[in-house]
Amino acid sequence: MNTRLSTGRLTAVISDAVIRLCRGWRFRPFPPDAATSFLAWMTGMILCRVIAFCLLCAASVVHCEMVRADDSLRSLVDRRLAAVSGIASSRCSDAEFLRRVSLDLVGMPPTADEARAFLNDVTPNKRELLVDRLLVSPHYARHMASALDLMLMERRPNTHVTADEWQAWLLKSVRDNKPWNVLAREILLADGDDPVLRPAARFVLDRTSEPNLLTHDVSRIFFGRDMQCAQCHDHPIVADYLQADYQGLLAFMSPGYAVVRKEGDKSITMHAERAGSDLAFESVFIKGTPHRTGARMPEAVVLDEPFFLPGEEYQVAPADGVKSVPKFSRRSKLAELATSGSNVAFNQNIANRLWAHMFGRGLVHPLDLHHPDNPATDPELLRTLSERFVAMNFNIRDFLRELALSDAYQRPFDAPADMLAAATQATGQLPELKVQRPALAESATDSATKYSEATDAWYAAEAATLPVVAELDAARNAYVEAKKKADEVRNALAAVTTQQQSKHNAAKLLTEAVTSAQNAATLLPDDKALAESVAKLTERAQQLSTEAIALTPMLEEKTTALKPLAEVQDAAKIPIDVIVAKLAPLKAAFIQAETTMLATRRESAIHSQNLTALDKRIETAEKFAQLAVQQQAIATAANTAKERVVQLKTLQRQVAEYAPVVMQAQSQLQAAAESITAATNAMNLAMTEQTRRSELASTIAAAVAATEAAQAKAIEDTVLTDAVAKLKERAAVAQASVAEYQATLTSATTAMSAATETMKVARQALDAATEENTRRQQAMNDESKAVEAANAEVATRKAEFNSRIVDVEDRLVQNFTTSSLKPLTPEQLCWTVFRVTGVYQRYWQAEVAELEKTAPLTDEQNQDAAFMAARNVELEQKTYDKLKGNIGTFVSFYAAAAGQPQGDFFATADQALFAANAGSINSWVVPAADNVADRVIKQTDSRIAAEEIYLSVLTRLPTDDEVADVTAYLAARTADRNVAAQELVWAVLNSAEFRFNH
Amino acid sequence: MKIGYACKSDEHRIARRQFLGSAAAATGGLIAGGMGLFAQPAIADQLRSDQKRIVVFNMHGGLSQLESWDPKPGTDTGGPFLAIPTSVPGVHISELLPMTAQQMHHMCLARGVNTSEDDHGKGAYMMLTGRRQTPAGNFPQLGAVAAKSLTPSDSSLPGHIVITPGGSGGRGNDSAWLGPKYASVALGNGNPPQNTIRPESIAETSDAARQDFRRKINERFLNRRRTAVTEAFAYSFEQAEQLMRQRDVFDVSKEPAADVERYGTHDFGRHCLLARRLLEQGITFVQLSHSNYDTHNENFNFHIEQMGEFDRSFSCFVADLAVRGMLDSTLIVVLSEFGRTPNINQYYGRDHWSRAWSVCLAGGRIPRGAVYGSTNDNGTEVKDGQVDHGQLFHTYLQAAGVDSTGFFNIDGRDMPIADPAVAAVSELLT
Repeated sequence: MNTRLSTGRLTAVISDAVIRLCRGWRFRPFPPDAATSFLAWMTGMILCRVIAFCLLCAASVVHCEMVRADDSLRSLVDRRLAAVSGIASSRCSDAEFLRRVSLDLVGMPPTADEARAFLNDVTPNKRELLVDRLLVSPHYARHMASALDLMLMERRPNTHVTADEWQAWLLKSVRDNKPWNVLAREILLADGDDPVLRPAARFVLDRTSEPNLLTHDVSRIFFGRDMQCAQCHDHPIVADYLQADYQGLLAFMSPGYAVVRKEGDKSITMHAERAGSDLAFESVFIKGTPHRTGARMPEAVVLDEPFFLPGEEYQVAPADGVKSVPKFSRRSKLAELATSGSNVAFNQNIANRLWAHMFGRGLVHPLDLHHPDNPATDPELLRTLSERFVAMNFNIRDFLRELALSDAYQRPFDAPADMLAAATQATGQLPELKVQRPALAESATDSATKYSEATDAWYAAEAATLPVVAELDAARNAYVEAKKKADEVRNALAAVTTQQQSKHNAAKLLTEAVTSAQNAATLLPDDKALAESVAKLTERAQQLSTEAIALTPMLEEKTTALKPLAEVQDAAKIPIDVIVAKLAPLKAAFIQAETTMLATRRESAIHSQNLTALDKRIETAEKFAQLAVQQQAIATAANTAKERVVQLKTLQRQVAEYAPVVMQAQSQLQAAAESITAATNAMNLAMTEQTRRSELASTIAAAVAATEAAQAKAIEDTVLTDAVAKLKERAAVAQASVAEYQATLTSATTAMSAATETMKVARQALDAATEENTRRQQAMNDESKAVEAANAEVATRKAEFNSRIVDVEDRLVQNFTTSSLKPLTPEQLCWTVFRVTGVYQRYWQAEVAELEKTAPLTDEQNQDAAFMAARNVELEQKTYDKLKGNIGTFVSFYAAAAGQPQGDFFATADQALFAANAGSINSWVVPAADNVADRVIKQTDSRIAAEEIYLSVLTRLPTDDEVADVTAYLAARTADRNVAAQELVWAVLNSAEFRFNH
Repeated sequence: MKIGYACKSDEHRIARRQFLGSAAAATGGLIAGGMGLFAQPAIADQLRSDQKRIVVFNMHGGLSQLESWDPKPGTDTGGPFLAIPTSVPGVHISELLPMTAQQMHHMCLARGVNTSEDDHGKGAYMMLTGRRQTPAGNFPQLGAVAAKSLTPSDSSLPGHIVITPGGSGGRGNDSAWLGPKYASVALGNGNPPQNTIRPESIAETSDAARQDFRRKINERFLNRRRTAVTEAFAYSFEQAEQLMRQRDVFDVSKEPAADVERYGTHDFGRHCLLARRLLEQGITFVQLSHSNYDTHNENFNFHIEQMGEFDRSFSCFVADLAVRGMLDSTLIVVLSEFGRTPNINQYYGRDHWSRAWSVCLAGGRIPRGAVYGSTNDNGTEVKDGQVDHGQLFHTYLQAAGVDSTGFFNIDGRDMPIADPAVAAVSELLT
């Protein structure tokens, strides 16, 4: 339930309830007497108000309590992350939660029966109860010890401390719920001498006490800073990692070394420490600018160390096979200061690492790159989380419990179903975020400037100390030299003194023996041998006395020789004191400058982190905004496409509509053509006829002329005259026929012209119609292409949108709005495979049976929770011991190389080949002793068979589709159902969901 | 106060952004070895068109430069063997390498190598990583760098193969921060990789059925969330199946008998032939070793024997690559952890000597038939053209087309590909 009810909302809720109450009152039937009824109604209303008032008062009390409850770590997490994400997200299913929290807290999923019980449980706070159950299970200690081992040792080979001892120590620490700072302090302090803490010394001993390696790993693992690249120069990429930071941390480590002590025939390697000195360094890129640093922790001023004269620094001086102990131990100081709760880097590192343990990625990610340019998802959240973790006394179990119960942890793996609604929410934040930016940017720039100035001042202050520091070095060397000379004589003097003393002592003892012997001789006067002995003893005693006395001149000589040397040595102290005094104000100024530098650096880092984090949020919101824009673009494109289709249809209709017009024009043209043909034929006929007639007329006319010419020569030839007359007559007839036919011809010609004209018009009409038709066709074709283009545009936009969704989903994972993918670690993989194949249960039951034989469980014990818990611890240990040999196989295939960060995921073919072809997994999925494959074979209802597989392997019920798949698979394999069952289990076990989803 | 020593060009920033934006971010930053599959297809296409390869002959124990690439006959340090002319006029090498001498026109000798490290382990580390070993950090070997830089992302074959004289195979521990994806796959005595044969207990149809069902389940899951890690995971199974199908790639017995004869029937000959086969099949990097040259005693007898084996197999290998037109795309390196002392000790042996020795190169951008650098008359010091392990490492990579001055982005961190304090030897590159 949402515990963040505002007073306003509460008031609303209560008022609503009260109003309903009042309505109820009003609905009572009014008594007949109106006045009475009105009074009653009034009374009722007043009563209502009173009740409402009382409820409101109560509400404000409830609200106060809610604020208190609201102050829990989990609600803090949810408040901050909700603000970062800006979008609402749902809670994951019970099944998803069960698998996730089981794998994160106990390193393996539940059995199918446990899963079924949890899913069927209707207790409202069953998730909380589950978390509590897991946190007291022996598997929690096992899993956390393994996680801590990976974090601290990164699978380095064990050389001086066995992995078994180390893991047992970690296991006990987790079982005892040892606070993280205590655990870390023990690790940072352990030198391997104290047998109780020797396992803790594995951290340093199996890094061979190597100072640079220790600096690198302490910095990464305890302070979250991979400063390797700042060893020889300021870090080239991470502006915040200075060479001085690296060297300052190195100065804590550099006095350390490994020493081997012989104890009988055993050799024990331990970590010893010399007295610390300043480290001189310079950047390989900026030659000629020397620096010096004492021991300095991340985010702290240089260590203030007491000054010892050379030779006076040790409680136990270094020597062969001796663990030296300086009076001032930098290592102890580091352990103390780092774990005191006041070192921000130390606190934030562990809060972030525990967060990553649960969430699969850190608020700061990568885990060892804490710096201003790589801020936490929400810097404020990380700050508060780490402060809370300190306030809860570094209690790992309680901290993990709070994280597990946060809404953020219970996000579903699936992205929000309605991305666009989410986008609208996220985009709504943009203006507000952008308003914040200028002020933040300004303060970031300001604080960066201040930091830069303070850094310059700091370097200047350092440079000012260097000449005096050099003087001190010289004076110290002079003193060492003088002391060395004096010490030589002192040693000689001491040797002679010892020699003389031993001779004196021997002589004294002998003299006492002589006295006793003489007394005896008095009692036994005849004992010759005794007398001889007395004489011999006397002689020897005198000889020794003489020898002792003979050493006196040498003693005096040495004493005399020592005196001036001792004076020189004493004199050499004086300049040291003087220079130390001279250095003091410079050092004070340096410390002052360093304090200022660190303050401005912290300030600058906070501003810069806040700015970068804000920019990230803006970027995310903009990505979301783009999502909406792109969605809009899809809509626009789709709309365009739709409009185009409409347009295309119109054009298609227009084309269709025009077809008759074209057809008509065509038929008109056809008719005209036919008319022309007819007219042409008629005219041709007429012309032929006319030609014939004309030719006849011409021929007759020629005959007339010829006959007349003949008549002229033969005047009076009547025949001729008659002929002429007849011919003329005929000529006139012929001429008349021509003339007469001319009208026919003319009319034919006219008809022809008319037909030609008609034809022309028809052709023109057709041309126009064709042109129009072509235009319409073209328009239609163009539009059709435009539709295609519009559809393509829609597809492109959709593809863009989908790739943006992937991008946005990543963002959602980064700001913990959806749950991230977490690959199983090799250890988790090993135990999970054993769990889901039933191997684990089989071994556990065998141990139970074994224990039952030796120590049968009584009813009374069965009721005793503490007894049963202890018994479970024992059973877990025994089962673990039987199966742990297999971890190595998984590590060899699935783990990163020793000494490399172990969190990176990789998938290689040799892993898949191992899964497919090696004996291990293939043999574990074979049906046996009520394991999942066996239950599948025995199950006649294929739905229940599918449920068995999915609940066992993936901790969830199958969907209907999945049930159908399994049913079909089994139905096709009635002949070899056991093989089929085994294949199914293998397939689910090797699925991406199995590997990643928790 | 920001101090930027590294090149902070826009290209770098963009590349880094792209990476952060796609793979690391997509996965919660949990992908090893940098770029995820999403980022790669374009690059893969580019590479495949002219994929470069590297083969390294590791002359284990420390080959004597005086009995191989830089003979000094007739001097107090020269030993009993003569120098013979080669296919390159004016260049002479030891008479122990008569067949190799005939291939000299393909090769290039760096005779001025000075690595100042006479310890086997440290010397080998330096020559294979281009760096000195540091207590706090570890560096990836050449094979891992080559596999990451040069192998197409969709290649189903491993990019980094080491042929070991014995052993059962498995994954090497030589890729440091590049992650196990680029670690070597060892071929123990030239045998195919581990677990590449389906066990008899599982029928082929049964395996096919379960793999199909696995794909089906994955498809459902990946439709809900698809990231670089899920892709990489699903792909590893496909890669495994392809590897099983392509098991023949590793099977040197598929090579013609005549070639086996030509290369020599000993293990090294077989390994050289296998190396040729692997490179031809598209494997990016192959390393093989010839053992053992640590001749503190009887240096000369040992070298007669060892060089005899080497000469035949190696010369065949170079000649074959040249004939097959693979030299342009394949860099050949013959290296050791160091050379051997010019001084001949009382056991007729030579001891460790890193101050003046030779590395033989061929192919890629390496000039053909060339000699760079020289030692003094009796081979005790480098006279000119001095190079060290770091410069050579840059040179190998650049000869194979890798910009060795660039960075790998590993889980959000920029890691220089090769030691940024030194550079490639331009004279060794065309």
